[in-house]
Amino acid sequence: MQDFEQVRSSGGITEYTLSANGLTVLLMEEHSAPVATLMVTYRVGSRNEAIGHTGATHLLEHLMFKGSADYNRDNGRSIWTVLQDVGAQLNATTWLDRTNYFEMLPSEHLETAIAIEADRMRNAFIRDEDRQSEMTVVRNEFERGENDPMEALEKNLWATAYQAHPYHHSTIGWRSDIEGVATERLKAFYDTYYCPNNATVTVIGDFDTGQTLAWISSHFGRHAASPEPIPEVYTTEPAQEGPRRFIIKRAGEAGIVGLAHKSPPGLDTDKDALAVLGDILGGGKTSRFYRALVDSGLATSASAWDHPFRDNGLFIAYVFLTPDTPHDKGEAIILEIYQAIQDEGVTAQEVDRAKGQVRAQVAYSRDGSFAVAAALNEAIATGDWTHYTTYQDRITAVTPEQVQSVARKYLQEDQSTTGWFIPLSGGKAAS
Amino acid sequence: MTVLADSSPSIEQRLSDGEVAPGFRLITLPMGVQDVVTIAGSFYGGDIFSPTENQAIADITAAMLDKGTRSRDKFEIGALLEDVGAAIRFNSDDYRVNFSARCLKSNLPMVIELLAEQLMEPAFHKADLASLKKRVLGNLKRQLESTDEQARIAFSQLLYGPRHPNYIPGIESQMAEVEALTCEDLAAFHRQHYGRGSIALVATGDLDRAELEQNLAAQWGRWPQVDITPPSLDDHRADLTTPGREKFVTLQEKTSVNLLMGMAVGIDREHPDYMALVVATFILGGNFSARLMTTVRDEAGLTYGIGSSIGGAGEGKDGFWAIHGTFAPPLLATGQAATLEQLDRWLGDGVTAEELAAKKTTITGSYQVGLASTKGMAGAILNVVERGRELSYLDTYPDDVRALDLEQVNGVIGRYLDRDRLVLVAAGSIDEQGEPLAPAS
Repeated sequence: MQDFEQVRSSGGITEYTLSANGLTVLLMEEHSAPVATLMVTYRVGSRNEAIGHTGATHLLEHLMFKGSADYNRDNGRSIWTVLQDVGAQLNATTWLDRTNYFEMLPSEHLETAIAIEADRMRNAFIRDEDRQSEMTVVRNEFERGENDPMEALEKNLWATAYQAHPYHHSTIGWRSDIEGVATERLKAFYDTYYCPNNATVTVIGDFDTGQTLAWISSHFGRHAASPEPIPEVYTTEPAQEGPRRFIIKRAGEAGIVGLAHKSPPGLDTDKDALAVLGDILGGGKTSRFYRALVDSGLATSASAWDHPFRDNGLFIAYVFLTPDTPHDKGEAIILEIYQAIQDEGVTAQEVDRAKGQVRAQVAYSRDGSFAVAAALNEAIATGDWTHYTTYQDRITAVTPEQVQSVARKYLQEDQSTTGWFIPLSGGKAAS
Repeated sequence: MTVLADSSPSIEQRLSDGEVAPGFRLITLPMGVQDVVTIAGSFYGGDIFSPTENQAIADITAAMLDKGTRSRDKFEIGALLEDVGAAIRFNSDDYRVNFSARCLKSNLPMVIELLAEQLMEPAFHKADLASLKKRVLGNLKRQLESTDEQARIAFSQLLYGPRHPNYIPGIESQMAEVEALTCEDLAAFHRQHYGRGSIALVATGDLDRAELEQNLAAQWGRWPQVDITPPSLDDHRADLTTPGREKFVTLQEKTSVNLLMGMAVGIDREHPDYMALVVATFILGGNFSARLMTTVRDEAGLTYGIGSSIGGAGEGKDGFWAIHGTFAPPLLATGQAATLEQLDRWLGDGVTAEELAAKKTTITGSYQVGLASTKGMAGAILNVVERGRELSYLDTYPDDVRALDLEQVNGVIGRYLDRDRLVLVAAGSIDEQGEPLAPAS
């Protein structure tokens, strides 16, 4: 414990800092099952990329499984083999603001997972031959995504809404950048961002705090903090001066409407009312979208969600149309619902329902060690892990007036981006 | 040996099991999580009980359960559940109607009451069926452009005949069946197939069994007894002498192809050889460190995902073994060749003692990890119940995995898999020979 500074506690989770290098550690013991989850969150995502190396964060994430000094195929101890042989469920994900690596495993193997994550934090190989073979793997991941009309629509929504800010490009990147990025660039990216002072180690589940801190100190403590400060993203999005629209025409069978509005950063105080608004619009059978679009048979599904990212967000509604429903009808219904909320507000009952759902979701997130770690991961990405532990209290404080206010403030036509996916007939030829 | 530490009671010791009414079995397991209760349950009434002239009846009947009851409409029920963040879900699989729920402890009596009401007294309103049909037809139409779904359909039709539960009808045929359904059809199916008899309900989490039992008895005792058993499959089992075939399904403007290869194996999951075949298949393609991902993805970089598994082997069905992967259209031929190279090596040489030892600990360890949440535990218990096994199997399953030896595992590969019977299907922007289509101009 003497290697760490205890920083703060919230919601049963305690934050420590490893004094030697600035590594952040979050711990929550929970002993209902002999399982623990380890997660390492790096505060780097596709927002840290630029033209020419979009998708680099994600490609680097793949290369982090290709071996490090102590864990590699040549010595018979590849990361996958060592961890999967003891029954660990492991993987990694990359998104706009963060990259995370996680292992959910029988708790007697926790130290092994800590040792692996510490080793690849600074000793990953990142070899050119590995990049070459992994590039085509990632390209197939891109291709699989492109098979899905929804993914194509979502990429274009962000690319149209954000023109200067790096949220413009999706995390998987543009195809030509996936193919063309140099290994040296990935190495430079790794050396810049994969440092203890840019990472948070989270452990949830069945473990002993003293022992686990000792393991973290022993394995992660050997790395120095980055010699230079972590670079800041300084690009801000210019003001949008009118509505934007686009259409994607592609072989397909059913139409989709996406309607996005600019929304504030993840830690902005308006975010909680926007989250409640999203639930009132798209959460369950009682929601306004379900009643107007789904129950009427105009759509197979409809959703609304405010993306809680670090710099900016988008409040996006998606409507998956049934075959005979024209796009303009689906779009008009969304806009009518927005207008009604802006004019007349929402009911106290609708807001209370959203609060009830959040209360339950918080309890559900304690069911198994992975759910807590996953929720913390997203809060870390927005800039403050306690954003997860204080979520219920903040949502409980939201009023109907605040929901109407954010609907008026953010759901403005001039800040909107609308996309239609129009299926072209003949998507399936005779086989 | 159990999945818990030696000093802990076994799962079986912590479970409570008994009938709350004739033909209604309740299994409960208190777990450490606070306030959360998970329910998983099922009973016979799935697709195999649909009449041959319309196989969509079972599915649509289950899909209508949450669309209102005789005493409350769907919005009233939705409001009661959503006000407290609870959810009840229904679906129908080959043999069973499945239901699941999650709620806070204090809301369990209300959830049980609504669950009973929805299962016993669905309204089957015409307007709700009309709306549901539109959505189901819309989703089916989307599947016409799904490379994954089109590959699965073609693969199932090459392995099985139309009367086998593993056969997936074409999308157009599924759409026609949905279009033809009436509320009277659904009500009659419900009357004939829904009731006590084969129902099992598993509840895990922060719960009091006595209280739950009382609630269930009050609600469910009035449900009529319906004794139905699945029809025999004996006349419809896959023909294991049919030689291998290939089929390429063309879809326009798709950047990734789904490849499926495999064959029927003629045994179900209760067969003594089943576990050995599962483990052998796991060594070939069960996870990231298995052979297919190590070679075709990690070394050759040909795919984002490739694996192998056994499917369609529950409830006495003769199942199938399959390899599934995705490839860019220009890389399909290379990917297919690389996959077949690994398959031939596996079929010819079998697996090694080291591989077997490693995958045994993978399977037993991940089983332990899967039991750490109320949902994972409820699912595992229900699975054991549906298989007709003793609940002690929850504790002894890892022992059975550990007991497998190399001779058993390699023996089943040759016994159930024959390279000459290999069926190969690919769906995507490829022509009828599997060659990539020219890019759209």
